[in-house]
Amino acid sequence: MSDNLASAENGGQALIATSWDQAHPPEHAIDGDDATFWVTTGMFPQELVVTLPASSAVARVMLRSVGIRRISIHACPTEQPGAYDTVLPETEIADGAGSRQSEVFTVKMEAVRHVKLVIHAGWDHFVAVNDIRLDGRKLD
Amino acid sequence: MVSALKLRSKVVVLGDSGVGKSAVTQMFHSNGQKFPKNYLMTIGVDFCMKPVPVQVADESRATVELFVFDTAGQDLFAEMAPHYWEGSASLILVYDITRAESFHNLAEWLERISRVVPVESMVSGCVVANKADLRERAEISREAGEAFAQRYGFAFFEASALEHSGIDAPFAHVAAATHARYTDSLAKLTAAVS
Amino acid sequence: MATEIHVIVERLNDAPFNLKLTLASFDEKSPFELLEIVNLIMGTLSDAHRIDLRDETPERTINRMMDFLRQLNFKPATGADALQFQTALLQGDPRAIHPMLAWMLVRMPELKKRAYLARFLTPVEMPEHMFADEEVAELAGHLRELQEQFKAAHKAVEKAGSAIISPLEIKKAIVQMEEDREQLLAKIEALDNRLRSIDSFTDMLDAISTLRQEQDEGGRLVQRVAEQRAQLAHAAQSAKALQAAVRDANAQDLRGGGEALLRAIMGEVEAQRALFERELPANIDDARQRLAELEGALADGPVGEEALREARANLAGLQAKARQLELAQAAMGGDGGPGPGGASSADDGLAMFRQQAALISRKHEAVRMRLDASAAERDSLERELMAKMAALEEIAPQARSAALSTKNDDFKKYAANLRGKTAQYKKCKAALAELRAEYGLLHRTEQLLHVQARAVGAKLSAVESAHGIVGYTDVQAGLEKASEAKAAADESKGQTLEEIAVVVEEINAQIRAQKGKLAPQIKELRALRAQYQELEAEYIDKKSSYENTAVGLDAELSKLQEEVGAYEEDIAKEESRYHYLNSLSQILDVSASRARSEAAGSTRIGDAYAARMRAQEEQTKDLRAQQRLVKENHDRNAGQIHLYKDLHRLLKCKVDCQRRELEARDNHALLGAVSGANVFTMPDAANRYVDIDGVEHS
Repeated sequence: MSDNLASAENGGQALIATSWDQAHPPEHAIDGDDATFWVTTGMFPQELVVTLPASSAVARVMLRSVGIRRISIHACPTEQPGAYDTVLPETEIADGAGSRQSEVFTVKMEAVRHVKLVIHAGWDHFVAVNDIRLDGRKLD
Repeated sequence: MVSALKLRSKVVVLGDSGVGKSAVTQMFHSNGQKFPKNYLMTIGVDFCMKPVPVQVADESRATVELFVFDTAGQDLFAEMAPHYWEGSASLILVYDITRAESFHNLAEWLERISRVVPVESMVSGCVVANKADLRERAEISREAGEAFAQRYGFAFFEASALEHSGIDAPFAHVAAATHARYTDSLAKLTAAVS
Repeated sequence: MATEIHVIVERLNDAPFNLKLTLASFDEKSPFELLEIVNLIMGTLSDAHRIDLRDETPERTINRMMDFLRQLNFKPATGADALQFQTALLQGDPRAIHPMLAWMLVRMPELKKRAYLARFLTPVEMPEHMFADEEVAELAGHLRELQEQFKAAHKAVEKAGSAIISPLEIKKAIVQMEEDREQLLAKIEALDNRLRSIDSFTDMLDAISTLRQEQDEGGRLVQRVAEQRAQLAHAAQSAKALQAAVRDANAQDLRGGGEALLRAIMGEVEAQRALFERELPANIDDARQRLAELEGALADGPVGEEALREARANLAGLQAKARQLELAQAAMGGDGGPGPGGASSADDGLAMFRQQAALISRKHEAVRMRLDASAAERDSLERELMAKMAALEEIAPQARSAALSTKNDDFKKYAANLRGKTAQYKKCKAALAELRAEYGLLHRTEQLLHVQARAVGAKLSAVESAHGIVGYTDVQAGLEKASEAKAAADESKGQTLEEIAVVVEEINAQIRAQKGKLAPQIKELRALRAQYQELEAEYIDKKSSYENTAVGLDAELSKLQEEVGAYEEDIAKEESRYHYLNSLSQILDVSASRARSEAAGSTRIGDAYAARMRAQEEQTKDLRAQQRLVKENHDRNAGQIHLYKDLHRLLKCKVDCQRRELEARDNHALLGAVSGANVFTMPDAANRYVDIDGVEHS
C-alpha cells in the first residue's frame, strides 16, 4: 500500500525552507494542491525539507514545479535532522518555458524521516514548487 | 502582523583593476564610512551583503538583500572570476572616467560574464562612471557612458566613491528592479498553475 | 352583666336603631334574633353587612362576622380563644354575644370609621408564591398604591372636617339661635300677658294712645297756626295793595270815571265773594275729611305683634286699594303711568312696603301736579269769566241797543254759548273738587304706609338684635349654601371612595381569577425557576472560567505572537545567513577547486606572484642604482649646467653682435670693415663640452 507521505493529511510537514513569502509558504508545497505553491525569493541554491511523521520507506518523489533547472534530493533517517544522504544527485530538469514541470524521480529511501530538496539553479531567478509527493509507506 | 517580504539577489561588480570597484562596493556596504584610503588590490573576490528597503505601492514592506560579489580586475585572477559569477542576477559595470581604457574594456567584461550568465537573462544591469570628482581630467564623456549603457539596456550612473556621491543609486536601482521582477514572476507563476 | 344588657337595650332603643326593646324582651330574644341584631349593628357599621341572614348559610354568616370583628379589632373576653368564640357565636350564646354587642354599641362612631377604613385598607391575603406571577404582583402593587392614595385622601378629608366649622355645627348653631328666638318670643308674649293681667291695662292703653294722638294733633295745630299766620300776613299785604288801589282809584276818581271804578270794585268784590262762597267751603270740607281720617287712623290698634299683623293686613288692603286707585287714575287721567308694582303678595316683607310706599308717593306727586295744573287752569278761567261778565254788564245797555238796532239772534246765540260755557265750567270745577278729595286720600294713605313701614322695619331689626343675630337672614342663607356645597362634596367623596372600592373589588376578583389560572403555571414556573437558577449558576461558573481562560489565552496569544514575530525574525535572519554562508561556500569552493587544480600541476598563483615579485625586485634594483648615480653626480652636473648656460649666453651675445655688423655692412655697401680681427674664441669651453659628453656615455 502506497501513500503520499508528504501530504499534511498524513502528517507530513514542511518545516525548513530557505525562502519565505507569507503568501506562498512552504506548506503550499505539500498541501496536495497544484494551484498553490512555495516560491523562492531569490538566489540559489534553495532548500526545502519535508519531515515525515514516522520513519518511512519512500520509493518515488513526484514533483510539480515551475522554473527549476537543477535539483538534488537528500534523505535523513534520524528524527533530529542531521547528516543527509544524497538519494538523487544534482539533476537538470528541462525548462518548461515558464509552464508546469512535472517530474517523477524513482529513489531509494529505506528508512527516512526528512527529505530535502535542493534547487541548485533555476531557469528563472524565482522558481515555484507546486506539489511534492513522496510515494511510500510508513515503517512499523 | 505582516512579515516583511525578503527578496535576495546576487550582484556582480565588474571593471578594470583600479577603477574603484572595491571603493564603490565598500562605500555602499558601510554607508560611506569606509573609503579605502590605501589602495588594496582585490585578490580573487570581495563579498558583502546588505539589505536595501524597497518602496512598495501597498503597505507591505519589502527588503531586497543584495549579495555583492566584487571580483578582481587583475588578469592574474581572470581564470577564477567566472566561477564567482555563477547564479548572478544583476550586474554593475564600473569604469574610471580619467582612464579611457577602463571604459573601452567594459565590452570585454560583458563578453566574459555572458559566457557564464547571459546578460539578457539578468534582472538588471548598471554602468557606473566612477571618479566623477576628477571630471577635469575626464577622458570619457558622460554622453559616451550613457550611450554605452543604453546599448545594453543598462542604467547609467555617475559616482564618486571619494566624495560618496552616487554610490547608493545603482544598488537601489538593482533592488527595485529585483522587486519588480519578483512581482512579475509571481504573476506568471500564479498564471502557470491556474 | 346587668349593666351590659341595660346599655345594650338603651342604645338599641336610640337612633338609629329605634328597636323599642325592653330589658325583658331583649332577654327573651332567640339566638337567631340575637344574631340578627348583631347583623343589624354590623349593617349599620358597614354597608357590606346589610345582608339578610336568611339568605346565607349560618357558617358563612359566622365567618363573615368573625372577619368583620377581626377588622374591628374586637377581642373576645379573656380566656376565650377565637375558635370558642366562633362556636359560641354560631350557637347564638348570649354570654358571648352580649359583651360583643355592648362593645360595639359603645364604640359605634369609632367602629364605623374603622369598618369604613378596613374595607379599603385590609391587605389582601395571598400565598407568597402568587407574587411570583408578574400580573398578580403588579395588581398587588397597584392595590397597595390605591390604599396609600386612599389613606392620604381620608386624612385630607378628616383634616378638612376638623379645620373648617363643620356644617353640622353650623346647623346646630342655627337650631340654637332658633331656640333663642322662640324663647324671646315666648318672653314677649309672657310680658304681654302679664301686662294684660293688670286691670287697667285697656284704660291705660287707651289713655296712652289718646295721649299720642293728642300730641300728634297738637303738633299739627301748631303747624296750622303757623299757616294761618302766614295767611294773615298775606291778607294784610293784599289789604295794603287794595288800599293802594283805592288811593289810586280815588286819584282816578278825582280825575273822572268814578262810575267805572266803582263797577270794577264791585266786580272784584263779586269774585272775592264767589271765592269765599265756593272755594273756602270746599277747602274746609277737605280739611275736615282729613281730620276725620286721621282720627280714624289714630283710633286704630296699639303697637306690638298684633299691631304688626294688623298693619300687614292693612298694608295688603291698602296695596290692593292703591292698585285699584292706580287703575282708576289710569282710566281717568290716562297719563299717570301705572307703576311697575305687580301683584306682589302681602307678606313679601318690608321691602315690599317700602316699594309700595315709594310707588304711591310717586303717584301722589303726579296727581298733585295735575291738581295744581287744574287749579291754575280753573283760576285763569275764573278770571276770564269774571272779565267777560264785567264786560258783558258794561256792554249790556249798548248791546241791547245794538241788538235792537242789529239782530236779536246774535245775542241769543251768544247767550246760549255763554250758558254752555258756564255749564262746562261747573263740570270742570266738580271734577277738580273730586280730584282734590282723591289727592287728600292718597296722601294720607302714603303717610300711613310710611309710618307702618318704619314700624315694621324697626320691629324686624329689633327682633334681630334681640336675638343677637344681626344679619341673621343673610348668614342663614350663606350657611345653607355652604352646607349644600358640603353635602355635594361629601357625595362626590363618597362616590370616589365607592369607585375605589369597586376598583379594589375588581382587582380582588381579578386576583382570585388569576390565582386559579396561574396556580399550575406558577408550579411549573417554580420548577423552571429552580432549574434556571441551577443553570444560571452553572453558566456563571462556566462564564468566569471561560473568562479566566480567555484572559489567559489572550495573554498567551500575545506572548505567542511576540514569539512568532521573534521566530520569524530569526527565520529571516537564518535564511539570510544561509544564503550568505552559501555564497561564502561558493567562494571557498572556487578557492578549493583552484587549490586542487594547482595541486594537479597548473600554475600556482603563488609562483606567479613570486615571478612577478622577482621581476619587480630587479626593476627596483636598477632604479635604485640609477638613483644613486644621479645623487652622486648631482653637484658636478649642476655646476656644468651653470657653465653651459653662461657659455650659451656668451655665444648668443656674439651671434647678435655679428648679425648687427652684417646689417650695418649691408647698409654701407662697399665700405665694410673686415670683422675677423674681432672674433672671440673659447677653446677651454669646447674641451669641457667633450668631457661632459664622455661622462654622459659612461
